[in-house]
Amino acid sequence: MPEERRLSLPAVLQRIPEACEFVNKAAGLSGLDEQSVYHCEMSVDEWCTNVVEHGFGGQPNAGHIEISCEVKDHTFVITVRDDGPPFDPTSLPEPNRVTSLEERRPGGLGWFFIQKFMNRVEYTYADGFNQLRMYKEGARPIPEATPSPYPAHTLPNGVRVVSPNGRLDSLHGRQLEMALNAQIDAGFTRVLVAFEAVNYISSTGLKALLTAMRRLQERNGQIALYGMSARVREVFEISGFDAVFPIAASADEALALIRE
Amino acid sequence: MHITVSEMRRTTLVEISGRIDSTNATSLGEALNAEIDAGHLQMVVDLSNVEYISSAGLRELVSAAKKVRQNGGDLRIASPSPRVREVLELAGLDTIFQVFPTQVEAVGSF
Repeated sequence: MPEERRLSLPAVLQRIPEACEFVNKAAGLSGLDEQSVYHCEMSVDEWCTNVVEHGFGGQPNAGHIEISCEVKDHTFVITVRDDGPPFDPTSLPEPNRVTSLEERRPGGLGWFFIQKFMNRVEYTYADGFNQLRMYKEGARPIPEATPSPYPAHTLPNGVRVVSPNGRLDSLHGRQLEMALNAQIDAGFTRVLVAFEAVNYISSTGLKALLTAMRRLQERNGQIALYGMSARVREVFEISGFDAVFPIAASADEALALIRE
Repeated sequence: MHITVSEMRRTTLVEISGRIDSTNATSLGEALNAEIDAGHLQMVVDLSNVEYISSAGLRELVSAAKKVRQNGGDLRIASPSPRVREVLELAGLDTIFQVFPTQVEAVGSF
């Protein structure tokens, strides 16, 4: 992630998912692994929820939350600021972790998760703003855009076959997008994506495919996917993307799907 | 978030899909309470299609579990994803809830 990213939201519960999506995306681009990305997203969710419910007391039009993300020294840094009343999280009750259900009281669990998930957390109150800065280690600079890192070849009928491999996660989903864009920019309008060597796909990977399909449709082109493992296929089914893309078992079947 | 409730012979199966966070945890709590109020106290909550649950959602599960147990029932969890399982474990809820790897095992446990 080359530059700092910022988002400003009204402090209401309904807008918190936008903060989650923003941080998820930025954390993914910072090169954190999927589990760390999840931890960052959940920490921001928990903190923003605390700010809205406890800081602003759930009042409508109460104020704003500002979030920024940056990478410093291989650490992903999330800063959340709000203009609510001073709200020191260290005043929250410690959640009693190993007591029975009957004794378990709600509250403080969100803050507990933040402390577990992040490597370091700093709270300050200054100039009318609460500020929580959260640090997650393991970020690395994004590799420079390389031309198609996945093998591609052209069939005798002019159909281009792209063969990604490994994990199409928040980091490599971007590589897939670049690879597909490269084919479309080179003028190919009929594209097959071979999934035989793909063992994982996340929403970033799905988005890359969707972007490619839209671009191809604008050019009267077509895309089809084939050779998925049961696990990868399941992701398409659960997300409903199996109804969006033509999916075949083999290359021959996929070719039949995009034959004009 | 989407909730599907099925009445089985001895249990009520609550299948949740999507994301459980502070924007929708209340609806989850209401759905669980409606079952409890109807006298359905042997509950299985299937989390296999839940990709995300925050503390707001966990609170609703704990609160529902308390109510059914006070009335002689139980709330058991089926097939959490690795991410959701991590959250349950961190919160110490894996010792509070009976967690089963599959729906069949959870339903069969009653």
